Amino acid sequence: MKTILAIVAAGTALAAAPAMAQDTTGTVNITGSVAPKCIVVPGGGNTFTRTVALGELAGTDGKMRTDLAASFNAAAVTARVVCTTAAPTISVDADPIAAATATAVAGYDNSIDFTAHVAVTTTGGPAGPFSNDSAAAAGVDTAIGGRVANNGSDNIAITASTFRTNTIDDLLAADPVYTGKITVVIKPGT
Amino acid sequence: MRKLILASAVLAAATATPVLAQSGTTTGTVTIDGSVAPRCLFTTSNAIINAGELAQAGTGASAGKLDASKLDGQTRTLVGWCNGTASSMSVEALPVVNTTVTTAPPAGFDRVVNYTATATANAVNAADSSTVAGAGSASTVGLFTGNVTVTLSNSATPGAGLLVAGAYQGETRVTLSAAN
Repeated sequence: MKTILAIVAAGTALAAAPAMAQDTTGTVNITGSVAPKCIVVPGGGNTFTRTVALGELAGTDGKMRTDLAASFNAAAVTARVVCTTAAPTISVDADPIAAATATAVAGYDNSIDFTAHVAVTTTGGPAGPFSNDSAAAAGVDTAIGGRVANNGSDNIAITASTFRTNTIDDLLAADPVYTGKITVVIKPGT
Repeated sequence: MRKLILASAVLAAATATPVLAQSGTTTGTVTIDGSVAPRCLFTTSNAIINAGELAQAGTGASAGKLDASKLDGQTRTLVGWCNGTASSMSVEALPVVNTTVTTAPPAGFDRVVNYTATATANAVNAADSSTVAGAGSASTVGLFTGNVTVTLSNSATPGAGLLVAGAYQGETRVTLSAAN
């Protein structure tokens, strides 16, 4: 009788083993991504616009004012752009400050060329300046050299130099509207 | 069916990639505004014609009367510029008068010499006769830089009389007016 009981107990144990192996594990996979992009802060847009009004471009002698660079740089043109990528690129394109309607004749000029400079602050320190002269073709995409800084301050500073007419003796043709442009394109890079 | 769905997903991903890259680009624009006011300026603003003795010498019938060759053909060059396309030029000729004897002369004498002054700039002429008060009609010179030549002609006295002795002085004024 005692032997029979032992056999039954063993049988019960054998039958119970598969029931303990039925623990279940559930897994929730969370995936996401961050697209390569550059953003203007604040606002989160992808453009920023600034205007520098230089006023009267001619001096008392009718020639281009010699203090245009100082006037432009006194405007302290800055912006804040952040990128999600480690190797963003930048290109700069300067367009001359040209008269809307006035034409040039001998001894006169109706446009002013200049060189634009864009300095970038990266997490590793200053980068650039990246420059383009308005008399040259547009600048090509160039690696900035590091992540752009995200320190709460403007990290793009735009200055200009070498304002000039075709010849130093050129007089400027009268026109109430002279307009130039500096275009800065910052891409996420690869 | 499952293969079809997978293929569609891959295609969608491939299409989406360029859009992401494009939207990730930031463009900043700095516009530079300015203007140039219309102006004119003489960089050489005066010249002197020293005509010397105005009366004819000799003993003939014309002796003592105006020697027109002393003024006619006299040319002086000023230098200036205008930067506006509608800029104009006008001339005012003031007679050459006797500054020593300022009273009206007796019959047969003159103390005034009239003449015509013509200014030329940018191949455009503007003229005035000293017989008519005020400046002559303005001419559009437009955008120019360079010489403004002034030439005298048609000199004559009102009565074709003898010139009263004394110092004579006249003036020709050239005015450049800026406009655009």
